[in-house]
Amino acid sequence: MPTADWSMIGPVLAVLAAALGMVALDLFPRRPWHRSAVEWTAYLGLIAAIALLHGAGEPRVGFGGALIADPLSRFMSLAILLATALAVPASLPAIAARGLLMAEYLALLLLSAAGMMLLVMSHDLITMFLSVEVLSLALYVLCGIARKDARSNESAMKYFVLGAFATGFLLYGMALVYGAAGTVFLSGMSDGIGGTEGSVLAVAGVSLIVAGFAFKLGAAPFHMWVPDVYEGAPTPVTAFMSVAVKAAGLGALARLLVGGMALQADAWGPLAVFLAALTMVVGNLGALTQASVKRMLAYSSIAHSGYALIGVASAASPEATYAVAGISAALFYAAAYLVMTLGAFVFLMFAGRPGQEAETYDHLAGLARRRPWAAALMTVLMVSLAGIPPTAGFIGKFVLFKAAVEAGQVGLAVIGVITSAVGVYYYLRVVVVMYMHEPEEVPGRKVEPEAPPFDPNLGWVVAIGAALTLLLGVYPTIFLNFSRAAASTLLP
Amino acid sequence: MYFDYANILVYLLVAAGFILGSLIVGRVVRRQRPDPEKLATYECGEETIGTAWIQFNVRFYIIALIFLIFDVEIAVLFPWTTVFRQAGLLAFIEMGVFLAILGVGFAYVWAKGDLEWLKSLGEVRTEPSREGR
Repeated sequence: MPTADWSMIGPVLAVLAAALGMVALDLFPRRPWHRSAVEWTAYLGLIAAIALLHGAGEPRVGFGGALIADPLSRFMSLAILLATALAVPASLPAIAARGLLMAEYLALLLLSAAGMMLLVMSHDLITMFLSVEVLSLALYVLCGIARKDARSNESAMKYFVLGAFATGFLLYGMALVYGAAGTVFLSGMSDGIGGTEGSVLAVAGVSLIVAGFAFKLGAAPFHMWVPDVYEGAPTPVTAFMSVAVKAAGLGALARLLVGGMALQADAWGPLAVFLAALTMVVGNLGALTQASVKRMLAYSSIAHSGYALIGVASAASPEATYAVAGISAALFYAAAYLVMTLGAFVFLMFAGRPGQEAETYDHLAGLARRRPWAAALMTVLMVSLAGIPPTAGFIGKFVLFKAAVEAGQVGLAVIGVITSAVGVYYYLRVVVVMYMHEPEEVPGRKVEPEAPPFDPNLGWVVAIGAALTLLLGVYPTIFLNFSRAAASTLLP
Repeated sequence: MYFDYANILVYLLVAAGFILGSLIVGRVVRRQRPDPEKLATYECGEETIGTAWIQFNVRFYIIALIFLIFDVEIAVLFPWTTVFRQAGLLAFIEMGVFLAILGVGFAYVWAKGDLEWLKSLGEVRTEPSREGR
């Protein structure tokens, strides 16, 4: 008799049911209410999923040890559901303007979110691998869902080919770790492997797994796909995947390394340090020279993966308190990154017109005069991404660097601070262009005389992103308590 | 510890050697009198026409995918039937959910017309002949 604890995966089931329901709805003949029925199915599923997330309770392992529900999975599931709930209204104008398949789009979005929630809950290597595949396969299709758009096709193709390659790394690493540990379950994996002294199998396996996850997180040197994929994919898809995949991947990586391979910290610790340092430098330097704001945000998301990896690197410390502080800081940073980056990508749609997004810096010139509120919201997001108080980005970087210094990773903290200072240039450049530049007079292209038509829903999504950014910056304690609870139950 | 797997290695070598050996012995012992009838492709084989490296209709992929999905379904259904008596109602519901998910997917493919082989491609552009006769 298999043990099945259905209440554990209630949120996942709600999201899956909504996705299936949307596909089924799409089969009926078209009626005037069809689009709003599909839309509300998505919202109902997400609301039900959030309601089914249990707020408290002891960590529970179910499904024969394959899944775990603990504070970490709840924290990350909530972040993923929030990103999805914001991505749905942000997607609707793009779906309408570009003539995309609505039910398919939203169903794939929810399926991907279900895979992410399973990923942060997974407690053995096989479930972890399958969840990565579920979330990735849905995203490959979403990237290319604008079928007539060559850039969208390019994005999907690059993501798929490189993603499949990275999946190979991940699976091979898992196979080697299974060979070394004799178990696929995270509980008992660390003891099963034992010390890493002279164990080529374990070290190679751990390294390959870290490489696979680094690809999913867009960490250098596995970041080459990020700018092209993020630029080509429809902007709401970019907004969703840039934040939700990283939150889910970071949660799973933290659970795997800190929860499942605590004794092997001398194998993955240096790797995390190397990845974090390289990613911060590459991401920030790459973002400096971009002419497209969307590409700049893509490089910025690489850089932020590097900052979050500082937390993972600090967690390699043998002291339990420092390990908890490192993971807690990384999780908080993922949440802060989520609200600000999602808002910034959606702003690009909001600042343009339907069917023509703001893409280069020139498109944003003089925006503060035409659309003062939009410019003000973007300023909050940019200030936060640059890491200036009183915003979420500042608190996130503060706790990360503090954890790094305490854990003895002073070098990483120094690189982090220097690269953040570099980042201020390109983030504030957006603000300068919006407030201080005149719209360029290009012969043949008329500068919009009055405010262009835009979807107010996009404005609300940007506003929610900016508001949460300020909330996390001003009252971080509640969220820090959440992330600390999530990190402390992780340790074996 | 690797010595524990030595018997597998020996087994592999013996297996490969047996096949190779019997083929070689057969080759040496048998009489060889080929004629066109004997060399013809046997029964269910088809005569090859050209290479396999050609472009072919993308719809084959959809057929292959659907075949794969139902193949996997059968692979799950067979073990399920053997333990159905012990697993009881829960297993029945689980399989019902599994089949319902498959059913929605199948209905989707059907309703969207992806099972129809002959599809209108819309307006087919006819390019004017370049030779200009």
